Amino acid sequence: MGFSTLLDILGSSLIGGILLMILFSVQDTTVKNTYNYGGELIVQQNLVEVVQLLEHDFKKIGYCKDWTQIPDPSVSIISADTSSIRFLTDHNDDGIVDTLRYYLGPTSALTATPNPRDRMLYRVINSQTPGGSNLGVTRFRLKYFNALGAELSFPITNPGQIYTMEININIESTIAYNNEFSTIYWRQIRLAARNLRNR
Amino acid sequence: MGGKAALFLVLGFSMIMLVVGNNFTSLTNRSLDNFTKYYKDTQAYNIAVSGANMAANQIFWDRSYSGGYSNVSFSGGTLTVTVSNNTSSTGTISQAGKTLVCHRGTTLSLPNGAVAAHLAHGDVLGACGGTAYDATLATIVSEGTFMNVTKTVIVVLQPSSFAKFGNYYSSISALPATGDTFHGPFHTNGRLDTWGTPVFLGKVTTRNGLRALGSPPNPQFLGGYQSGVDIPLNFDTTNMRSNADVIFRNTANQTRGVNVRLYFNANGTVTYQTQNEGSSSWTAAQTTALTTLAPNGVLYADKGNIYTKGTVNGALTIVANKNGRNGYGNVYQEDQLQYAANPINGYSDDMLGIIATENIRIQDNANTRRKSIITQASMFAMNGNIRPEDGLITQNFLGDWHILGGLIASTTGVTATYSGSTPVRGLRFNHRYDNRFLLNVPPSFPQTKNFEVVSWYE
Repeated sequence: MGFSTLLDILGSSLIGGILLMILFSVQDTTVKNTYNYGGELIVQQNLVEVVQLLEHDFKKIGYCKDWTQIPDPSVSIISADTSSIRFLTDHNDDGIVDTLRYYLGPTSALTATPNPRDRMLYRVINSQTPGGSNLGVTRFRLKYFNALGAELSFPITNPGQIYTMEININIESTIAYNNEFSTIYWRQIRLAARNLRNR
Repeated sequence: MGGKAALFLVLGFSMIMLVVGNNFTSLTNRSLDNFTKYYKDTQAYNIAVSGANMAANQIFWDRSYSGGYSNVSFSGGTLTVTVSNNTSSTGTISQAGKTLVCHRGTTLSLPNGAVAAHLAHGDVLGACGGTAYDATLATIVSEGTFMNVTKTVIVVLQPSSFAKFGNYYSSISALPATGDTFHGPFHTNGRLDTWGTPVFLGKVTTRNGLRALGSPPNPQFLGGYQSGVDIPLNFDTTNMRSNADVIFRNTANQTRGVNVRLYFNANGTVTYQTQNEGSSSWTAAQTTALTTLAPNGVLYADKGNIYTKGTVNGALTIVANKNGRNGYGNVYQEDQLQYAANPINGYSDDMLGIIATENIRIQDNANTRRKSIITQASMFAMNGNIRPEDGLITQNFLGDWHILGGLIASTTGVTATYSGSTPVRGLRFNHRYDNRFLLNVPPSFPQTKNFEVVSWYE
């Protein structure tokens, strides 16, 4: 074995090592990006699911297939707070008035997930036991406006004043690479439940 | 050897990059698809809502409208609107020439000529199973389609009655002000001026908007507010006349007026008598069961004034029509006028509508002086107002006028004499809306020219 052979081995080891390090780095970056991109996709899908459900339910505030069951739509919102609302609706379109309640649970209810900020957004029909799946909601904030467009201050003692509402939602991935959670934000500037304006 | 290794190395890295790149691209595409789906849904929904609004607008302009739209290009998609409406331009309901069709779960009454097209897309004849059909309602089914996504909006409308209002005034001369509370739906067909912070418990509608005055200029609309709503105060007495069970007239000369006494008894009877214009004598009093005298629930005085009091046990509308005779078309309340069963305390099917083409007054007499007055009825004064006679407003006594029902009038009326903003003589206005009138109204009570939306499904 000559000197040049030794040089070849050393050189190839060096290049091989560099390539290996690049490979490891690529793998690490790939895993990280896969986590992040996958997390963002899941977060976006969760957001669309949550938003479509909220829009579906909130636009039906005061609706009942048998409209005579809610002759005065102004009483449809039973209670309203910054992160909870309870209202009359007909969620399964059977002509029977239901109460539907949305509220945000505490962070302590989801301590098993790596994300310390995620919470359950509960959707409770009538007297059902609160339940649901963790979609990574970290913020669910409602603002309410009266018929003249003025924001109502809390506590809202008379929910009949509510004419439109603003919905703010933050959703984060529940797990993430290196705790770099993907975040997405959605705001419905003015959601008007049509049935509140009936009659 | 070295060249091959380098080639494999490059190919290997390229393969890894391709897989990873493809994976990332796939994630990006799925993310985009996710929002594209939301966009399509939202766009289809917006098109459907637009179609529903377009048809509803047509119905508000012409209450007999049943045209609809078929496959109209709109905002990058298409909209199809089907309208079921049995109301004629005069307000009568007729299903002649129409067929009931079950259209995707909603019963529609459609012109016979339109049925074939509906059957072709899967509708079936007859009302949808398990649902009763109400011919007085109009229904709009609007379907918006955008990139193969279809969303449906279903709107139900009903003819609107003036009795649904707690307060209706063509124009308002006295500003609702701080301390005032208005029960039930409120409408003025002019501009609503308010002072300070009056409270409106029901929905408020105006034709010409709102002007909030005072400090703070902050009216409380607890049932919502909407401007641009035109509901003129008029009605055609022809239908009411044709529905009347009894039409009281001057028996000597039908071009002259007649006074009619209607005294209600708690046992469901009414004692009535008449007096021809120019005569000082009244006919002998007759007492008859309301259900016998007025099975349709309408008593009508043509060129007449009605004098009434008592306890109403049943559902009835009394009408005083001027019909061109000056001094007539008024209703006078001579004493307390209330229901046998007070609806505030529980179930009651007692219901009274008072219609006057001119004014409605609490008569100033020994029975009404120096005491509070009760009126339980929905009152409608087409060309005048609703208030006590002057002697009761200026009397040396301060009582209350307890109204359960509604006040529909051309203008507002003063009920008391004020010192500053404090009533010192007369009758303080104490009004409470009868919530039953949101669903049930006194027989043949006048309807507005418009439909009202009672249900909006989306």
